[in-house]
Amino acid sequence: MTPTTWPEPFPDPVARPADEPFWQSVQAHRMALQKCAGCGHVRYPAAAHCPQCLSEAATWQQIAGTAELVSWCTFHRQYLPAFPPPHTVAVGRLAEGPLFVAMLLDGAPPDGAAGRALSIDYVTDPEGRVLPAFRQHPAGRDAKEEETQ
Amino acid sequence: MSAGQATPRLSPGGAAVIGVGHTDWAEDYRRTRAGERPGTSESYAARAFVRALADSGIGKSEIDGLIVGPTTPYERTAESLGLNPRWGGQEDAVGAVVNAVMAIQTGMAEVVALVYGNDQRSAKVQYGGPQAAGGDRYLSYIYHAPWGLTSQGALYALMFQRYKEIHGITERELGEVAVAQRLAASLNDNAIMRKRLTIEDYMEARYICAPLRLYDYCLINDGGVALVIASADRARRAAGAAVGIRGVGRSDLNAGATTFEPRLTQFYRPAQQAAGRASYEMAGVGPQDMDAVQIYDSFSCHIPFALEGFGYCGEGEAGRFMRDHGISLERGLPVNTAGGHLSETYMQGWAHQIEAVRQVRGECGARQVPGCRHVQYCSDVAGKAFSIIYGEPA
Repeated sequence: MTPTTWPEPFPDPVARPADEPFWQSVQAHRMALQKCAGCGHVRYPAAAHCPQCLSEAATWQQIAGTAELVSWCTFHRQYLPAFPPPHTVAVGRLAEGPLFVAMLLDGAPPDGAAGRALSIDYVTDPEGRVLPAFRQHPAGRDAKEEETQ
Repeated sequence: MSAGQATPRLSPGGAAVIGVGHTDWAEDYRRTRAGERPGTSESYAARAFVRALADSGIGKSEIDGLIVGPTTPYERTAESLGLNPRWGGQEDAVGAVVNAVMAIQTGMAEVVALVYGNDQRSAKVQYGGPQAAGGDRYLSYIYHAPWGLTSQGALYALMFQRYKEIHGITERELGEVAVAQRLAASLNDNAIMRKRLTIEDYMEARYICAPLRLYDYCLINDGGVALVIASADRARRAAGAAVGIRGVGRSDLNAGATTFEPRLTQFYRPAQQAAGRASYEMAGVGPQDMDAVQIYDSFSCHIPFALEGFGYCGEGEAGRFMRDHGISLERGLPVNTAGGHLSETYMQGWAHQIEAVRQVRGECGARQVPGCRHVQYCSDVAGKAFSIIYGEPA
């Protein structure tokens, strides 16, 4: 499968040490989230301790790569050089539980689309930086296979 | 969730607003648009303070408490005003009013000045894009920028789209907010945007971040607001018209804020309900007793969410309520009677407080709500829900 690319460099993420394993997992196309070793709560964004049980012990768990569409918005004004309008960003509920925000690669859905199945794809910018992104429909057989791995 | 357990403990009849003041928003807006800098955050705060003091009829030496807004440093602001209070702090608009009440209730202060100044327009403060403000407090304001999600407007666009999905409100129904508040602003000499709007004007305006359009967004302008709040005893001896702070309530939803959990799954409703209930119980009144409501409106969709959360209509009914009952000075429940952040001035909730006071005083001229006895202020900025009931002093 050819990699999905983005023509402009992505904005820098907020520099937080807790996020480093997340970004490494994304760069490897194996997005992972923290799972609390104390209570099992899966959290995003990463943090030094669990907001539920306050345990500092956690592991990183690769996600299944599926989500359900919760909401979205479409920028008609350009705020950031990498995202000329119209640019659609979605919020999806990952199979692991947390909400996740990412661009929606196949454009704005119609009203009533909440609940649609989303899959996580990976997008690479000209500097080689990778971001996870949502697709509304699995992009074919390869994507299906990735989901079930 | 711990929301819903609030027990009112204050004796809210114990505090009253005895003075209000503000800068000349419309004139300063014209000047900043022309490239001038009519003031700094500190000087706007000072101008508003001078007017609030004059309005209260008391001397500066009587001020023994000070709360400064988030946009000027506490210590420098106190120095610039020559104030040596025995109690002080820094808060946003609604937090400042509530903290002043608490300071007065506990005897930490008797006369508290609240001062706010913001040169956000002339200083070109950015609420979206690479230099977006506020990320130190709310990670959600900056965390999703790599994916292109930036600006507070986008967060409200996500929230309104989710509400549309669940409750089927239309964008035309949301347009009632911009139209109603512009009507109010058209009757307010100091409002920045005074040209009346129709629903058609609203619908024809461009999207900024769909489903929100141009007129769903607040203004960005310079200015200042100040209030003087005193104990009920001191208020009775003041020259100016005192307006009582009859009830206050607060409840927060912070868990999951960065990924919008309470925003998108609850619309902050449990926090609004708890804050509203606490303030209603304290004041001995309810939504049915309010003659007007001032609602924090950085974006228009705050209004339908607040109407539901604070008990003015049922869950999912806000669109119909706004369309059929009305939310304007001409029809139904008057909301944001000075024009609000959308049309009067974006003073981050501060101007809403003085509008509530003036409506109860009955000095609002063409935009006065007849027989106005109780006004509620409510807000839910990023999950911090507050309610204040203003009314005749106890």
